[in-house]
Amino acid sequence: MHAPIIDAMQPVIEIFGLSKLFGVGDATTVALDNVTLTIEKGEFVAIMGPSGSGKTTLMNILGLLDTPTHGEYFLEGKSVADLSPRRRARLRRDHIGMVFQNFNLLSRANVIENVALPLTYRGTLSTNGLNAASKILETFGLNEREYYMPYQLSGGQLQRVAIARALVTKPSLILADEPTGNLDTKSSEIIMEELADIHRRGNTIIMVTHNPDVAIYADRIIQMVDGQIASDSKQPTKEAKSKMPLNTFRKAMQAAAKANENFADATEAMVEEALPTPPKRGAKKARRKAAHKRAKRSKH
Amino acid sequence: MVRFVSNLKIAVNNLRATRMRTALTILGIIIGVMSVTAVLALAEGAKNVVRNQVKQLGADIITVRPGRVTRNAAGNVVSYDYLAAFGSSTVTERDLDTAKATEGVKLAAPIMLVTGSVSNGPKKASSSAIVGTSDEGATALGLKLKAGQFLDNKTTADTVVLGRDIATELLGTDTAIGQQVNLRGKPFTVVGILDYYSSSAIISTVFDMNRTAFVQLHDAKAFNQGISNLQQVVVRAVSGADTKKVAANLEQKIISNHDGEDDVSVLRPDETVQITDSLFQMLSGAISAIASISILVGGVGVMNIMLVSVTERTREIGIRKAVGATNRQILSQFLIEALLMTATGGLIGVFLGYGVAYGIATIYGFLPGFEWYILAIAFGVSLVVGIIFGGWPAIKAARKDPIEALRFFQ
Repeated sequence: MHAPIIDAMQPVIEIFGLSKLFGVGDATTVALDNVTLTIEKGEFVAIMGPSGSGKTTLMNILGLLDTPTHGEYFLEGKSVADLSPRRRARLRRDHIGMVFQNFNLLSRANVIENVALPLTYRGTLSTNGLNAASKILETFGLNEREYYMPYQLSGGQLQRVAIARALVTKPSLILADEPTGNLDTKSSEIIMEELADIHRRGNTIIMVTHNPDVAIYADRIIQMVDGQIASDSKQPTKEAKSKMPLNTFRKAMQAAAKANENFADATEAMVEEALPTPPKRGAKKARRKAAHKRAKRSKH
Repeated sequence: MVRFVSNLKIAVNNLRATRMRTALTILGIIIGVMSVTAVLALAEGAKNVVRNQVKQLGADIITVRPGRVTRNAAGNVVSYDYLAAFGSSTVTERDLDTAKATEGVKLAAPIMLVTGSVSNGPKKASSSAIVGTSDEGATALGLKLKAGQFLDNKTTADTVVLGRDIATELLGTDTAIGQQVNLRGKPFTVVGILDYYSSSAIISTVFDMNRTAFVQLHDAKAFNQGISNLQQVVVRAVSGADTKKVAANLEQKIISNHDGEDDVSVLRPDETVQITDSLFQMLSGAISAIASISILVGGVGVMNIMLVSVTERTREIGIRKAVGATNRQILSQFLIEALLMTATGGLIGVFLGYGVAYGIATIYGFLPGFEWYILAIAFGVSLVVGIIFGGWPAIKAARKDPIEALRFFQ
């Protein structure tokens, strides 16, 4: 299989007027509402937003697991609209690496088999696949745990295995859906350092997260509300920030924090506003969630 | 190929992980395949018994029987009018004389079966047959004498030659020449006792030579109000003669004896085998058709377990699809798993089936027959069952929506 010759300036992802509707008739909900987005090669994008804002739907469409209702999606300059399920599976296998919140490793397979899984679907000879997997695992410092089963590893280790699996096919795009959602702060940091490292090596990463501490590693933050892009801002990466003079860094951090704060307040206000009288069950839940979020933020 | 091997590995791992239910599912297939194999092996064994008898009796034997046979274009017997066995015989004494006079015929002997008791005083033989034949009967049937002589022109009426088993039962010895036994109450003098006779199916599948009392044809007729009723005429061709030609010639002559009515069959040894073969084929076909129902039941078991397995592994399917497995790859993974179960069941079933067949056959004193087609049927059927009953669960697995599948929690 020949790798396509990629124009250096060719965006990895271009989507135009993307919409996704669920349900029929009166019960239709709009998960994505006319989203247009371009992601260049080598970007590290964090997609943020409250739950139900369409982040995961967007990720599923970008990962070719789902199809949009309207709009166009170009992956490396090629439209994926009319591809057969088989071609989509091949694109997933060869061009996209996925990392999930709950790791999604095969529980009956050991670490190295899990990492080599995408290669077996490529038809790579088993020994070659295992060699490649072993090499990748070495870069994650997991080569001593190659023959461990998933249940013998910690959450952080599991996520590193999952990232290794996403990288084993040398994909042009890495999609991470809440990669630190199930991890403690320490493990989260390690995972984010790994992702940042992968980004430094020239990979394009798109990450969905709730956590501002995690989003800080990205160089571009997209905020989503109600299936639409509410804000899209470039920011210096954490690495760049660490090289800044302290003052500038502080300013940048404050700005970022403020942006997030403002955004969170804005969404909260929107939720309050949307509250009908008498309050519905769902709204109550949303309010509780918002309160919980506030409490969480004050802890940090 | 690489994918097939990796799918096979996945299948082995998954089946190992659920040992107990895999074993039970395979057991269902084993029982089905075992019963079909056993039936077919026994039928083959029975056919072999007949074939061996033909070999023993020689290739020059021709039998004339009542009832018409149907031959196909290639000259092979395809069916036999079994009803003729129940009616009064259409083979006459005139046909016997015709046979004797036919060119290429060395000798011809009648067989007239009379049912009736054979006894010695108060002692009655547990089972017996009385057969009227001629002096040439011994040669025609390939009978060997243990003691005394066979019936001939010089022996007077009311003399009898006994089969070995009936002689030992009634007289306590197989050398009791000159003693008397009663046939249907009438005293007969024993002039000869036969050696053990191992094969009789080609002459008759009805009576056992070792429990038969052979008398002159006219004595047998005396038991039947003086009327002859020949079950068959056994003919031996001159050595070196073309039995096919002799048989065809004889058949024509007998048909003209019967005013052109085609109501007898003149059978060469291979044709006699064809008749018994077709009978066994019918029997074994019918029985194995019934036995194959149990394979179907086993198949339903496979389907059941595969459906459970697909549901249990929904998340795994989602993961595999997310990392780039195509629908077809998922399909083949589950299909191979089902096939592995049914093929294993088929393999074990064939072995056990032969074990069962061997056990049953030894009780009846023969060996089960081995034919490649039995292996092909047993194994082929188990693969077909795997494809049919593993197919739907595999399709279900392949069609799963990856997003839904990834959201699935056990």
